[in-house]
Amino acid sequence: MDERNSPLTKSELAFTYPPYPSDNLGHLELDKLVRLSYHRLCKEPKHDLGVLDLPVETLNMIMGHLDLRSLMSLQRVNRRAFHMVNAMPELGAIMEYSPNALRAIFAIKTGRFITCRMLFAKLCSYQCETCSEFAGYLYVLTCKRVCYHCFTSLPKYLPVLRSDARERIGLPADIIKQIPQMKSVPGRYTALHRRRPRRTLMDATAVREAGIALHGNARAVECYSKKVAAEKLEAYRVSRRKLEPDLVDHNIDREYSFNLPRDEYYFNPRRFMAIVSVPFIDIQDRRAHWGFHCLACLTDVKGIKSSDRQYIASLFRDHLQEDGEIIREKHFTKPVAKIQGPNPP
Amino acid sequence: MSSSKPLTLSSSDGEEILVDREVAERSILIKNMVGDLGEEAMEEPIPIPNVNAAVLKKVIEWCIHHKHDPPSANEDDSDSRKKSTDIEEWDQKFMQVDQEMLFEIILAANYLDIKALLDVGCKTVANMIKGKSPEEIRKTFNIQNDFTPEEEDQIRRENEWAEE
Repeated sequence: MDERNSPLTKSELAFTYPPYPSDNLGHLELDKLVRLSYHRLCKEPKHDLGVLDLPVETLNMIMGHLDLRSLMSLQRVNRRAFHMVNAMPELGAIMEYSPNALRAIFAIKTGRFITCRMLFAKLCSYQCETCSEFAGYLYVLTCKRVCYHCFTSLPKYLPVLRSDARERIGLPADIIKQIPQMKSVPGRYTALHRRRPRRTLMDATAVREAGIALHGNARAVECYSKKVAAEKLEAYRVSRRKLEPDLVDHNIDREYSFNLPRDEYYFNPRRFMAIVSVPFIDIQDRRAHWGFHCLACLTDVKGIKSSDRQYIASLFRDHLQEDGEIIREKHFTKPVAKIQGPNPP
Repeated sequence: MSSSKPLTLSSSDGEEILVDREVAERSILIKNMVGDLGEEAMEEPIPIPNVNAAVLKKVIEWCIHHKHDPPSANEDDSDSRKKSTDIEEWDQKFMQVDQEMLFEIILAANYLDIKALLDVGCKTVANMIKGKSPEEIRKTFNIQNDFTPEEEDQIRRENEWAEE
């Protein structure tokens, strides 16, 4: 093992901070919600798999192409199938290192969009698929590895309500059916919102693409949404005037916009409903790394983004090189250093 | 490698089939055999003891169609598998055979070490399983259920979350 990747020394460890709990699927008691029958039930099979009784590697290849829901159906075919599915190496590793990823997928019912192999591949990479930094989370609507900063800020990680896809984008039912979608799990996601009913949420990227395919281009989608919004506002004005004839439009509009959802806010609970914390599985040393924060960045009030950053040993050492060694809980950049960093007081 | 004489393959049921070198070498087994045994040994028919003539001809048909494919670039490229069960049209038609033939082709591809064909075969089978209930899978592949009613009940209860 080269030095850069070696475990942190005691003095280095002192500058780190464990990942702080953020609200996501992993913090709802998933193990009570979803029970995985893995490794239970060990009776000897009486029958084989018929024509499907192929060499183990071949059967594993076939199962690798199956989405998780079909894989679970196959598991229930007979005892031999049960054993074969459970003996699948990728599934075994997922169960050992990150069973919550699997539970989250089943809890929000996105199993039919994700294969076991895809999930395993995502767990064996640590990079955020958008910004390439260490990502401690998985967006389980379409199985994408994502860091805290990206999933709390980017529109593509804010799932769209099915009713919005239908009304605001105008997608017909047959198109909606084909878009990756999930059922939200009731629970607390952000401090402001405690319990919510089960809703159907759709992948924002897929909704956007379907909207463009339907209306021709992005601008046409926007026009359609604006038209719908204007109609809704007008309907609201009419209904309000009926109740209070004295109200002026200006006040009604303000009242209306106040009640509109605030999609852009990072604490919008929908942003957290398809997110679960996952480790990075290092195949080389067969260990799960959950990532940690830099203590100096955590106390640095200026860098909201940098305090969210997570590292593994090698990345943390790069970070110290780049932003300066830590002295008295602050990054200290030597005057000769080329990179400008925050100076100690 | 210089373009050389065609090879003769001898199937398990004794039929001899003449194949272009380039086509036969889609099979890593045959390719390695040629490398190991040398040119002279290739004058003799090469025995393929695990594959009968009907299946072998089918496999060769696939190899002829795919002889200009670039050699599979990344052995375990997860990217190419992302679009898991997309199969190109010609291959889809090629795989429209009865179940017995399909599984024979898969076993032959496995034995002859023709990765791309094995992959197409596996995808085809995966597509036959996809979206089916356990009972439908049993029917499709004629598999006997040996779970006791109690076990079935337990598994069903534990799988409630997997239902849509």
